Amino acid sequence: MDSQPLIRIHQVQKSYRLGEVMIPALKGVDLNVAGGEFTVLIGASGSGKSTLLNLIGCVDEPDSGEIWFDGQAVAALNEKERSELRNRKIGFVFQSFNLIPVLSVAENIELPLLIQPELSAAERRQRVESALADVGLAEYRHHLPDRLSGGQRQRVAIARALVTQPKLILADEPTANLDSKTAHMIIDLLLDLNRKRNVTFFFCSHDEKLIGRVGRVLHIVDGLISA
Amino acid sequence: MNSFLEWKLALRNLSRNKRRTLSTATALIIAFVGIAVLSGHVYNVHRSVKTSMVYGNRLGHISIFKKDGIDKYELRPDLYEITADELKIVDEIVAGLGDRIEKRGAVLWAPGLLSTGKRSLPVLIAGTDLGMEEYARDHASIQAFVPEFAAMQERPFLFQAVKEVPDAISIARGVRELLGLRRPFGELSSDEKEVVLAARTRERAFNAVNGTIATTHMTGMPFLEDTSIVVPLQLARELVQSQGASHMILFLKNERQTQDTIEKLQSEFDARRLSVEALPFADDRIGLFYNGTMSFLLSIVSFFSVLIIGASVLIIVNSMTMALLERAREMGTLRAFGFTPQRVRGLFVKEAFWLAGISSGIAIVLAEMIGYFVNRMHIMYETPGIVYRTQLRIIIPPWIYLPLTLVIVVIATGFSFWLVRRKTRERIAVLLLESGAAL
Amino acid sequence: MKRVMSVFVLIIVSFASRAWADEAAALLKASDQARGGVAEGLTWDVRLQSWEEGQESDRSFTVRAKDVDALVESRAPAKFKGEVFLFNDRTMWFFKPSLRKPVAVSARQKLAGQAANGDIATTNYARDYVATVEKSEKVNGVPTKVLLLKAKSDQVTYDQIRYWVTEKSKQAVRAEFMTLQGKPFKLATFEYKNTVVANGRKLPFVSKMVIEDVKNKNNRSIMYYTKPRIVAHPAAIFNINNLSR
Repeated sequence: MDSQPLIRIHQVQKSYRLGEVMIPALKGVDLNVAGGEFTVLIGASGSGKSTLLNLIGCVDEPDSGEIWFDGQAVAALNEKERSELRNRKIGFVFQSFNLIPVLSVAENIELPLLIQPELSAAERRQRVESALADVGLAEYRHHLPDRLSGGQRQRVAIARALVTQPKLILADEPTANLDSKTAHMIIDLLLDLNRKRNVTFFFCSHDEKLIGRVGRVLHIVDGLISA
Repeated sequence: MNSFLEWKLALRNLSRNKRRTLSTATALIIAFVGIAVLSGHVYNVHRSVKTSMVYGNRLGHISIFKKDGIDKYELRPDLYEITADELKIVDEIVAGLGDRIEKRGAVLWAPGLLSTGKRSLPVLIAGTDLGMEEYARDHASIQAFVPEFAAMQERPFLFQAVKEVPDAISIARGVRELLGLRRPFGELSSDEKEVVLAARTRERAFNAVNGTIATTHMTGMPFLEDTSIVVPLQLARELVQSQGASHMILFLKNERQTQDTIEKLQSEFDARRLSVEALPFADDRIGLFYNGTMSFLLSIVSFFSVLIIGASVLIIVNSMTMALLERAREMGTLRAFGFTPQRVRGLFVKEAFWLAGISSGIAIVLAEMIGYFVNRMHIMYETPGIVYRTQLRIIIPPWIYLPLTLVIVVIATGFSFWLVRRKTRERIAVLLLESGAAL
Repeated sequence: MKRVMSVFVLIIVSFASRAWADEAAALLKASDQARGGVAEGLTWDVRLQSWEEGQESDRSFTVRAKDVDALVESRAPAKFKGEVFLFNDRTMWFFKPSLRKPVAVSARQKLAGQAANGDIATTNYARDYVATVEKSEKVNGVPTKVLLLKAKSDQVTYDQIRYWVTEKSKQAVRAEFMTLQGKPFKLATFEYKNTVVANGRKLPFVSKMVIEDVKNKNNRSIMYYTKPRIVAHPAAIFNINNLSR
């Protein structure tokens, strides 16, 4: 583990406009996440967990406060640099999988690699195969997403997040759309990957049942974190 | 750039909402085919009318007149004719241009009278070089592009008739009507066919020569049908007592060289201080019927094309807007794992490109098929100003497909680019929150 | 030729018997007579010099006239010899030996360009015009009555003519040919120094006529009349069918 935290958040605030009203989602959050950690952020809906996740993932900007990722101040990056950062260092897994229906499993996984011009087609294929193996879907590589079960789709999403070999994988309620058996399987997979690949995992959930299974649990209530 | 997968993705995205893709494509195809077929009709008219006028009516690609002669010759033929000496020099200059000039010939117009011995008709006598007449009247392009005109020509042609009858003349159909000579020429008596042509000589004295009506011709211009007489050049020259000409006509091998040839001729004329000018067929005083017809047709086609393209634009915009709404979340996802806004835009543009390209391809095949079947049906119709019934023919020039495809592709991609722009600039977080058809 | 033919307009005279309606008509009739219309026939020679659009021409003809007909034969220059113009009423014919048929030209028809064939066709003023006295005027010191002639039909070439007829000798000394709007475009003046003996009487006969284009005074013609004589012409010579065989 590095001495420097992978993620450092200091006094971050974020509000949203809802019609004519401003809703404060985050009211001054401080947080550090070390590399290799497996952290889950638990909170009810509306607690601001998705907002925080978005800020960490650089898909949104705070109203005030600072965010450092891998020693870099995110606010200082321009759009292009941010895209680059996301592509190479962050992977996303979404609640509703967000797969592209017209691409096969392998093609979906390959997508993030298209932005890395230094990779040859052969190298991309190799990475895809490796990701497929990690999530155990090698024989489904040519299937279209609509032929897969919910759990399989999420595994594809995970493989897609992994394929760029990121430092951090963010998951926004990855098990919310799955039955409990499948959900546990997914969590097992994530834990496994965390151990094997030393990828930092940070995901949010409202499912209290996961508390016991993961390393670090954070609670977020009304825009503030409590341990 | 690794865009092969992106192109594949763009193509496959077309199948996400098959009904919408199909209806958009259909609209584009109809627009394309509509414009292509219309253009095919206009192109055919252009080719037929131009060929019948340039060759059939012997107007040629270029006419060489004395300066201002085209307007003033009829009033003062003595002042505005190209004299015999000038004609020699002009002939030299024209010959010097080599084989870009396929044929040339002098014409001598003389306003005069045609007398049957009992009464006279005012006529415009056109003394024509018979070698040129032979070349023009039987030109291959007449049979190729406007066979119905060729079918209406009365034979023998003048250049053939003079072999039997040295003072043979040809009269326009209207003149034939006015003279009451409706029966076939073979049945007419010599007295009916023998006439006298009268005109003023260059010295403004009254003169007359014998002529024998041997055949008729079409002038292609309604206002000439009642007065046009075509005679051998020598006969006209004898009548007006001059070896000059009112103008000289040139036929080019390649009509696209018209402007260039005119410039070369004019510079030679000016250098030799000849007071003559070279005019193109496109000059309204020569090719008015063609110019008028074409500008009318082109304005109609332009109007409809604009309408059609406008409708296509609306259809594309509508279709794209729907697609964008449906795929907001997908756009956010792509942005999330590093696609720049430009690349995301690129996906939609590629999709529009596929749609436009495939639609164009289908449209080309369809347009050709329509053209083929319409042409086989031999639909005939009447046109004001043309005495013969023309066939409705669709001849779509191949060079129109490329610009048309480009237009459709550019419009499709351009508008999708413009529409997507705003969306891709939205915050990723917002995009991810939107509902969509993603899985 | 235009100028030659104008002459014949004024020379050929009709002797249709009509009631002498008023002073104007009487003057008109008398002036026609002073220009020598004779029942049996008349012959004279004409030399026509004309300047038109910068071109000069000098031609000579022999004219044989009777009633409304006139036969004009070209005498000089040699290249025009054998050419014949025949006037029957309002029709003009042109013929020369090389032609198989004559050329017919009717009054209102125009050869394209300058020629107005109405100049060529025969006119009968008393028949074709209604005359009114406009005023009295002196021309070269001689008192004349100015008649305004208005065409009775549109078959007649000139819509209006202003005609100066001397009061005493009843000779037309001047004419102005006008458009329908009353604009003069041709002027003519006459001299009567010839005489011809008819029915035992000596009649004055025109000796010179000058016609001028109002717009361009350089376009003019002068006709010199010589040797007018009474000759009994057979009607056959004025028949076009006889001419052209």
